[in-house]
Amino acid sequence: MQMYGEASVFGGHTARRRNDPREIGNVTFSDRRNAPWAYEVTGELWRLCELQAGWDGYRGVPTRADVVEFAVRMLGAISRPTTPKPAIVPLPSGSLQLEWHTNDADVELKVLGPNSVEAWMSDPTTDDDEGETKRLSNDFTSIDTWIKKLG
Amino acid sequence: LPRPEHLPDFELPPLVEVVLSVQFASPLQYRDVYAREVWALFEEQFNQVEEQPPLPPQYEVFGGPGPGAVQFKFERMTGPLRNRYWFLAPKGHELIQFQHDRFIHNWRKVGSANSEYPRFEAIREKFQDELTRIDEFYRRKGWGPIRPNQCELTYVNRMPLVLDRPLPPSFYFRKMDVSLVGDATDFVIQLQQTILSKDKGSPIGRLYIDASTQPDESGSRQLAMNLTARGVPAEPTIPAALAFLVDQRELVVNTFAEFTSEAAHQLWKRSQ
Repeated sequence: MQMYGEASVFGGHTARRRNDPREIGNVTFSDRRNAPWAYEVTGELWRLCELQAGWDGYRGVPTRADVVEFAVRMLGAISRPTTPKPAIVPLPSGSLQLEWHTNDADVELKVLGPNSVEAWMSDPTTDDDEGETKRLSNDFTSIDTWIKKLG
Repeated sequence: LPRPEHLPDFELPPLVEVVLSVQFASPLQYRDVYAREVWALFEEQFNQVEEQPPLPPQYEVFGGPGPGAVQFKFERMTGPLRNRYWFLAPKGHELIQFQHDRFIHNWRKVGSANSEYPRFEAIREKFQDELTRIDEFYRRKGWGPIRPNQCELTYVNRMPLVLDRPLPPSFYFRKMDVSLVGDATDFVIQLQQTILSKDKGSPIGRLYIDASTQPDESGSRQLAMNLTARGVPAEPTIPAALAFLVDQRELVVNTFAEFTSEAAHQLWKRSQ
């Protein structure tokens, strides 16, 4: 019996067995690919929405839900199983910042809102103190090398 | 807006549902009781209401190893539970859906009589009017303008696999030869492609194409083919959101025509 995935449905191509690394017999290994901090960080991000107004001692507002939603989506796209856990910093405006500081790179992603991210990277092994800044929307391809440097 | 002349056109399209959707930032001051006031904006035409579970937020993002390399939970983990509301017109052809961060207009074919597809232009015009009314409501409340952050257009097609004779699913396809899966009675195909912006050529969204066999209401086999284009508008405004939907309508219709066969086009009386 043939099943979906065992044959190409595109005309002219040779039928090829799908090689899905997650499935060996009846065992699914999908969770083994996960970064250990993924669920933890998601919970931490959502808790920022419960901050009280004035949480910073001034006029800071709770982190907006759409900022958290987009930050989680962004992390889902850019993260690798080897990426270290980011530090999470709420910002008084209702936005947030994700930070990584390693021996090879300092990376900060300020999520201002959905489709609005300010990205900064500095290489601590060089003399360049100012680093590089990018304004991003929903495409994080240009910082892929930054994230790879983290681990 | 007139229908683009170059767009493929069918007198009898297999279309059973068209869905236009805009997602926007939820105002901090929003409470679910305000949904009654939103319904009042449309109650004259949509006089029935149903409660539904909320739709999760959707964002098309690009870069990195892609979704799935690391798995995150995307559902909301704190805050109040919100409803999604269906506001239905008496005849059932049209439905609008509202939740705190989403507005949706559905046209759907109900039965066969008096349910001719009114065409995208007419649906888009209604959607624009409704979205403007919600925007004005948000402004009156002091919540500011609606700021769309994601738009979505879905075309739902149903194609019978039994007409005067049984038809193989491959009858309907041009580029996909499903006969390669032998005599399989059931299959599921899921494809997606990146939508690029017209000016910069950067990714702004994705087109999802799902095709599968399934039983219809009477139990006969049919082929379901859904095309969904989802992405970010050029700027977070209603005109930009509507422009995104107009552009993606062309992509959806052209893709549908490219994927389906000449024989199927004859069946649907292709006129353009």
